Amino acid sequence: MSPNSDAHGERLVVDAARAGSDAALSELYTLYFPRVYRYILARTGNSYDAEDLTEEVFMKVLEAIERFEWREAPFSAWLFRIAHNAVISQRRKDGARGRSAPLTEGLALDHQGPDELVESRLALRDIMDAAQKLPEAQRQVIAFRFGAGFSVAETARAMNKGEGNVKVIQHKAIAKLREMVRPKPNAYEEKV
Amino acid sequence: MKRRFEEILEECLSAQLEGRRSVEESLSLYPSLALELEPLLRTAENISDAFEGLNPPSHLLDRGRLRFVASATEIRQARHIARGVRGFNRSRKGWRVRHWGMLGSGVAAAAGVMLLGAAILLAGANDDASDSRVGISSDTGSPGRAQFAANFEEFRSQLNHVKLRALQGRVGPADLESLRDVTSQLADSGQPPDAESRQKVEEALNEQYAFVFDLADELPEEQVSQAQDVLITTQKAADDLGIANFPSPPTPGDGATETPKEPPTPTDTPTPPEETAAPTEAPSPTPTAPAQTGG
Repeated sequence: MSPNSDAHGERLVVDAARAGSDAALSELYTLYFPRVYRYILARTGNSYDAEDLTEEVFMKVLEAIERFEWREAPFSAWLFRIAHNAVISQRRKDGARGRSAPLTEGLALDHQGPDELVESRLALRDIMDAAQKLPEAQRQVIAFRFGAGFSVAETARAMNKGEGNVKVIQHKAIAKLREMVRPKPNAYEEKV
Repeated sequence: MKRRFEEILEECLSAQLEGRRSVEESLSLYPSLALELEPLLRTAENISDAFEGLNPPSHLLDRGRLRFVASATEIRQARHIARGVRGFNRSRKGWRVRHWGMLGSGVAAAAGVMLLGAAILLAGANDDASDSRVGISSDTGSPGRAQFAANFEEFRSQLNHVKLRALQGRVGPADLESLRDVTSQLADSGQPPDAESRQKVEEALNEQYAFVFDLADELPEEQVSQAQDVLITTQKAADDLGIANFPSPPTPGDGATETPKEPPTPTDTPTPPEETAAPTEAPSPTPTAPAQTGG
């Protein structure tokens, strides 16, 4: 799950991409596009924004990859920092408009029949709607852990927090999501 | 104790996300915490399942990858050009730094003489003062090669950006406005510092002209006048920068019969020449050629 499982291989690909290899750039795109998309979707709750912003992030990567340097942070941290900034910038642009499109419209859900598809969409919509109501830090942790596929250590680095702190936030986020997504008993059941 | 629970939750969660352990296995490992752990792990399982089935649309992924690689090629070309210009400037700057002391004293001495001469010239000149300043600015390279290189890079970058937007069928008023602005800015940058730079600028302006000319055909009515503005600004920039070969003539043998000299009018539906005509002949990196047909 972790993007650093093959850190050496990743480094080779990133270095080749920095040197201008189209094949390496294509590989980076294939590797990271879905994860960045899921991360942004978890942050914005809007599939259209997620599509636009993910493309924008990769254009920014192209413009900046020459300047990327291997220091303490891995490439993925650098990439998701750009994604994070893109989300913040989009949020500023949207401002008080409160614009949102139906989340599940246009979403591609893999390998599912019609019944499963409907069920998945409902579950996904519930989860995404609930995630949007979480406090910012909790939403970020969910986006990094489940959207980007980051480990706790990577999430901590990306959020500039301690690992212990991230674990606490994660616990709270999952508990809160559980509260929000859990099916509510209907009025009849409550009376009974 | 609280901290301990979070550690255990994370341990179970990581094992679960990495497919090493099921929820049941985790619960059996920590029976005393099962009541508290189970709902959280089940919720995490649902979140994980929801995200795992969630992928960007395949058309977005496939077309996006092609555009990504094509844009990389364009950016590399733009940088190559900009570096050529900047490299020239860097050596000039180095020269300036080394000789700054000598120049300083020389300039101070010359300044008095020049002031006197300027006063005499101004008294007898028919040209107005602004023309005189433009002439001097251009001759001395001010506002400078670095500024020229930066403006050119910005121009290229914006052109690439709009081309990308065209591929996506998303060119908006702000894109065209920015393109016009960076073109004006380039026109105000002074003359290209050398023949190679001039050649690159010529190619880029021709490329932009051809691209916008074709783009106008695909734009909604209300944006056509904006496209026309960009074309006029491009033409003006070519004039200001002393680009003689603009718009570039068609290559013989391609069936083109004419070169668009006039931009499309906003009132008419733009009717660029035949698809094979001149605009497509402007130098354009191969991967972006489909930009003109939309995407």
